[in-house]
Amino acid sequence: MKFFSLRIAIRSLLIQSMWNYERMQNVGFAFSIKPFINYLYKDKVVQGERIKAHFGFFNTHPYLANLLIGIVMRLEEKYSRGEISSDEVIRTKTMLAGPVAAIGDRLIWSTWRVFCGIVAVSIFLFSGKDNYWFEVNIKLILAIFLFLYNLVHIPLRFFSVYWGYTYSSDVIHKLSKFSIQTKVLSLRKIGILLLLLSALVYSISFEDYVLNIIFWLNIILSILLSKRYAQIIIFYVLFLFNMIILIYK
Amino acid sequence: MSYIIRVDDRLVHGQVIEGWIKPLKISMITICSDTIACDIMQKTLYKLSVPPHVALECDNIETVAKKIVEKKYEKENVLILISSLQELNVLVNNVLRFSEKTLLNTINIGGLRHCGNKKQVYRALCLDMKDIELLKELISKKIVMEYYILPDDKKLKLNDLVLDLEKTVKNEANK
Amino acid sequence: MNITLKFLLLAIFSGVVHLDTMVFGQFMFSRPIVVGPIVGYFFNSPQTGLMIGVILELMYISVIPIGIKIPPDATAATILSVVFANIRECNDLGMPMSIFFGIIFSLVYKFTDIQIRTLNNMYLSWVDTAKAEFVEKRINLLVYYGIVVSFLRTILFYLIVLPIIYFIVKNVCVLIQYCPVKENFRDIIYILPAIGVGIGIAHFMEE
Repeated sequence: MKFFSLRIAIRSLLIQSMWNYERMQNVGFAFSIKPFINYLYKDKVVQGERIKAHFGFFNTHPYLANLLIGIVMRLEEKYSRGEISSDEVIRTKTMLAGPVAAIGDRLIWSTWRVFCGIVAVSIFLFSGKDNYWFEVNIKLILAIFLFLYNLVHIPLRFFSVYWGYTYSSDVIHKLSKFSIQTKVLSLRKIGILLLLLSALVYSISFEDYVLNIIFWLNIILSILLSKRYAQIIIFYVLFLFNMIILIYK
Repeated sequence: MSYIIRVDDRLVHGQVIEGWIKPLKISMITICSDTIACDIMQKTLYKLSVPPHVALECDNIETVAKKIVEKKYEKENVLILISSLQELNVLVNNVLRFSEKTLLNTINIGGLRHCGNKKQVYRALCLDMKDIELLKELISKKIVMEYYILPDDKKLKLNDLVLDLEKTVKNEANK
Repeated sequence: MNITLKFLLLAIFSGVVHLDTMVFGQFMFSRPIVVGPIVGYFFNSPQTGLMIGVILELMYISVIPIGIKIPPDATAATILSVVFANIRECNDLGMPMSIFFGIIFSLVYKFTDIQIRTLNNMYLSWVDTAKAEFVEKRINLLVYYGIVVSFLRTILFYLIVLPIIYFIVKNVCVLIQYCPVKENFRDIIYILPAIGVGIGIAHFMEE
């Protein structure tokens, strides 16, 4: 089973390769679960039919999709023994996909990736304007960012298939014991503090009061504008704003 | 402080959490369904996926209809999630049964993505003739429906577009 | 190394890096803070690359792929910005100028992404109507097709866009040399991170 999990986890790296608007990650899902279907059923016609059954609408977080794949593997086993119907397998898969996507979006895209980005950027900001405080090591920043991020990514991706298969639907109860949401909140608070601190250290190195004031004015304005406008619009508006201010400096 | 009803066959998912809670300051999500969606496993999963400051409730259609009529959703910003047009119709019928004069807020048709044999009329909306009949029935009960995926998107008023949609779906069915 | 060869190598490199955004396991190699310095090394100015990478990483930090919505592409913005910051005619002002144009073209890249995903819809019925024995082979083919098409699309995009913007930015920089107030803008590159800091803080703030 562990060997299977590895094979399927590697296949799941391509889960978004034929992303389409109609059924989203369905091609990647069918591609990932294929080894297990081939192992369960020896008849080629049945294999093809089962894969076709799994070709419906599917969209979830790419890392946590493996959890879903593990659960579906367990359900397929039950179906092959005739304990449940095909409809039930597909319906459970679809019902679970939505909330798992929500968890993944909040945990990974919205919190962990942002946090790792902030850590990497803070190292640069702490070094001050033009390496004022210390010489920044580019390779260190890259290494820390990629290492920190993939520290969560790779175990999540590669162990999820096994967890999903072993615990099946109980994996949700196990997840709930982790109190994910409170950890997310504390990470977010640490992220804000780190960013503010590094911006402070960066601005102190300016040696020019006016530039300092413009810097913090930008931060406050972009916080206020973020509530209403998209990032790119904020960037261009503040870019022009800065140009105008600097002309009169 | 009010409620917004959203028809989305994926119920709680990433878009809803990331794209709806913050802009509309949602403090409670109610999943309105008579079917399996509210069993213990699902409910634990939903609770995991919403932020701590958002409450999550799971009620059947009649209870939600009663709460709408008794104005129980006026204290905070509530997002009511329904998974299909059929269930929306049942909800509307229940509300009108309890109180004929209640005017429901504009309903958001957010996503009917399980296409199968249906015609994909918009990016996240698949309809067949039965759905068109349901839409017409809801319009006749003075329900206003708008199609948009995120609160910032352009809102398409389905009440005005239903005849065009009917033509598109009929053409596809006749092919 | 002449400029055509540099652009060709850059297009191939970008083709590989862009695969990480969606097609092949999101390891975050395609984030601005990783891509910026690497492209900077290619032009022997890693510091410029790092600066641009930091500014764009902060700016795109809260741009999340929510369901259907495809975000503007951070990688394209970074690669294009670093390339044009190294144009000889631009000197110090190259950096803010190039970011200005790089971001516009990230929106163009998003447009090509949407086209490809819409095109992918066509192949689903090919598998739906397949006989059971052939389903496996067809799905394999589709997955490989997805990888190859994404790779080729990126290379094509860069081969078209790189010369166009090179021409535009070079001429704009030459014009800027005649601008009387250009000295004041030298400091703008140190202020740009602030925009991203604000965006990051606003993203993490809960109501």
